[in-house]
Amino acid sequence: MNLTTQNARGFPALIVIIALGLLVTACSSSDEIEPEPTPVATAEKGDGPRGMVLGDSAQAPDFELIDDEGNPFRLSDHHGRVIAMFFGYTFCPDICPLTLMHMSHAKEVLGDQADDALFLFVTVDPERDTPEQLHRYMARADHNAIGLTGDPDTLAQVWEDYSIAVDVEPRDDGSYLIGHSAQVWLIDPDGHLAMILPPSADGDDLANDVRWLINGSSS
Amino acid sequence: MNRIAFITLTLATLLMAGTLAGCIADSRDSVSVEDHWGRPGFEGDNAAAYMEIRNDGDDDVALIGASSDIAETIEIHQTRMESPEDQNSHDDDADDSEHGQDSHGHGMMIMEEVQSIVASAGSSVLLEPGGYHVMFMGLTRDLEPGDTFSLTLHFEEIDDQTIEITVEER
Ligand SMILES: [Cu+2]
Repeated sequence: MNLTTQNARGFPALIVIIALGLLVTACSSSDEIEPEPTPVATAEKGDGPRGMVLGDSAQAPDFELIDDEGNPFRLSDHHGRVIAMFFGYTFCPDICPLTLMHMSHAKEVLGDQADDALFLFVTVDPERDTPEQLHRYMARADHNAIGLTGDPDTLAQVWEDYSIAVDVEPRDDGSYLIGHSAQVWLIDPDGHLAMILPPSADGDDLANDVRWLINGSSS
Repeated sequence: MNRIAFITLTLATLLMAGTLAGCIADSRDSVSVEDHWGRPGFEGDNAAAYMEIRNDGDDDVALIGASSDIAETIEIHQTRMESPEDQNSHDDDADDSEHGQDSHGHGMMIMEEVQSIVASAGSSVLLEPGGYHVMFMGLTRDLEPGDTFSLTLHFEEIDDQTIEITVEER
């Protein structure tokens, strides 16, 4: 098109072309928005402990419960290894399997040192968590953790000893969910309450702190 | 009208109509559900599904529910740390100061139903372990890793979207 000789009717065509350009821009602009980047959590952490170190060397309160194979389990029989202990229940499909996955991951990261660690999952739901129910739940994490249950009174004492709040939340349909504290306790090889990991800790954090306690006891 | 201007105008009009149609289709397809997966579980137990809801449109979109034949009850849930204020509202053991808050300051993790999960215009929202999830209560069958099932997501502003969830061990 020769712009210098353009007649009056050429003008609307230009307007349409400009409008078209704007429209294409408006329509495609949303494609250019990138999702927010997910922060990488563990890359710059050091080798020191990541959880809260308890300096008072209190002895871990002992208990006797039933493991997920139906056998008696006394905590004090297992000192000599680092024990990581989490409280949850099998009807919890979100945070509890997540912590079990962290335990499995930690075991993998620890490699040979995993033999010096023991991972425990203590129920907050004795009504539904029979040894059988716990056993099939632990199979999800390749039995990298041992499930523990017991009678309600014994368990209530364990929860109290380890500052685990347990709140049964009844639902209209007759079932219930349970709110519960979700920290991971770490007990050193001498049987002392050594550390607490917050619920936000991941499998790498857990492996790091278990290893730190394993190495600490041998140095 | 000169010939060139006429052709230009015609082409432009056709292009514009095509672009407009594309725009309309775009806004309908601007919400996509990606990276979706579900946890395993046994019949009668509970399970959960996770996903990323991407909203490339110009308006916020709210996930308000989901349905599937996989569970008796399906709700939109959020796992979160219960705050001390929540404690006071239903604490029937008020003289026990450690209830819900241990001596080292860790509160209780609870799951609760939320009315909606909003994917803001031009961004995405993540349903992930320890946060938002689609909660299945009372599974109607076992869910083993590798199993698949249909899940229909209900949004406030747009049509339902049915996705195929694969059960994974993550
Ligand atoms: Cu839930």
